[in-house]
Amino acid sequence: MSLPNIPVGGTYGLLLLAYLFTVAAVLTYKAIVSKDLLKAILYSAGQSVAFAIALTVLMAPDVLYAYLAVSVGIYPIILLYAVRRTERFERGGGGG
Amino acid sequence: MGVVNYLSNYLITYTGLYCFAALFATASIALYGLVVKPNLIKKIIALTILGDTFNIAIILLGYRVIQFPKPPVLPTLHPTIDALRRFLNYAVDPLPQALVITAIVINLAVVSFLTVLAIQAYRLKHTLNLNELFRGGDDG
Amino acid sequence: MGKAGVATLGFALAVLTAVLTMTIYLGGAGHYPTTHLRPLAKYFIWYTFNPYRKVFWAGSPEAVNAILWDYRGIDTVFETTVLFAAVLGCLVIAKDLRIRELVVPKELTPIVSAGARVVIAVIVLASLALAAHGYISPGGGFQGGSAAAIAPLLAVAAYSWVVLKKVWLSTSASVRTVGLLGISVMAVTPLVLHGYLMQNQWKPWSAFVGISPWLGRFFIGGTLIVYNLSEFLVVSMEFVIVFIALTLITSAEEGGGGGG
Repeated sequence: MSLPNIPVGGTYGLLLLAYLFTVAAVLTYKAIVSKDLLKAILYSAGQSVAFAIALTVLMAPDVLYAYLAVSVGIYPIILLYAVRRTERFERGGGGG
Repeated sequence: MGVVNYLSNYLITYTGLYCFAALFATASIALYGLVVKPNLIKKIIALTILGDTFNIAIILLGYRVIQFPKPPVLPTLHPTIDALRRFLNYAVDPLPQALVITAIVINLAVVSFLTVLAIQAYRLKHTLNLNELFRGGDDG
Repeated sequence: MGKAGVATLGFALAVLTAVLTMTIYLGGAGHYPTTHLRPLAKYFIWYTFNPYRKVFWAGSPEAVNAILWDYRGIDTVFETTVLFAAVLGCLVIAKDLRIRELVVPKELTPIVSAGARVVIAVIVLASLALAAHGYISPGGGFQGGSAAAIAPLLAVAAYSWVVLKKVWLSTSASVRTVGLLGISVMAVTPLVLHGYLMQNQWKPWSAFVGISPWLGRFFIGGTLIVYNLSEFLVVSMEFVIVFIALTLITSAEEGGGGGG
């Protein structure tokens, strides 16, 4: 018995994308709000992983190779160098 | 089957809109962090998130909501005209992907330069807070 | 920015999100949701490897790489220039590179060193393969170059910073210059031979014969393989230079006297 030809097939990719972008939004909120810069860098790397999986769903393999190496590999490493040479905790204080 | 068709169109439209809304909300949170938070490294983190979010939004604009989309890579080295025509029915837009690769490289160049600038600013003034860096500046 | 300013900014950003989503819904960025390709995308995919319409073809079945290096090649040349200028800026700021003599280099255990040796070799080979087949399947010069940037980081983590001594700076700068020369020579050669800048295949409005994508039995994709390999050299070496600048930059307290 074969499956009926329901034209919902295009939705499955979009449902997965909706989940991934929600995860990315929550992680970026936690990254901006946290006062520990190390945690902010790690949350931002997690958000990049969510975007990388979204790029696979969006069928963009070239962009995926470039984005994965740069955003999950290079940015956290450069920012960790910077945090190591400077301060780890954001000093409190209002906006500016 | 008419009901399922109607529901699926509804679902596709509103799930797609929710994807865009989540992306623009992420961009807004990153923009807020870029403007309001005074720490230089936090600003750089927010800048990378902002750039990445808009890059993904551009690629999402080039997506096709069909059942089996394919990446824009021709799978054969000896294509016939029929194979090309069938490939056109499934392939995803290649132009946003090429532009986004260029954008990723340029964002990388800017962020690496900004990080070295931030380290140098800390070396000279021993603070990363933007208010303290500009204390005694031209609006004091 | 007081509390009122922050609240106004938050409200304005919420309104911006809603307005942008409504713009997408009302078709501001093309008909939404779409199951068809835009006409420009159809043009690129139809003509990128169409051996029956050789006037417009790019000689590479990979549409994204063909757009990057053939149809919009000058964009990519300027992107490489921007990356070069940024790395130059990083080096100018970190110009008083001083090796931190006070810090004792600590190499990790022999197991980690041996394992790191194997992994570094695999990373370099895999990224070279990723860059080399960029004109047939997904990959390309920049993708391979940024994957190869992980290798020096692993070396620094396993063998400590002595791996990146000052002699590495001149070596990586020389290899980067070789890559940049590869791109420039390949871009200017069609211009010298009476074609146009960065021409890949034959076109009826220029007198350059074009570089054939087939070399006997092998498929080399015209000028694309030279561009991809040169860009791999450029990008990987530029990452090494940035990591050298970041590793050796000293603060004024450590490393003996007088920074800035």
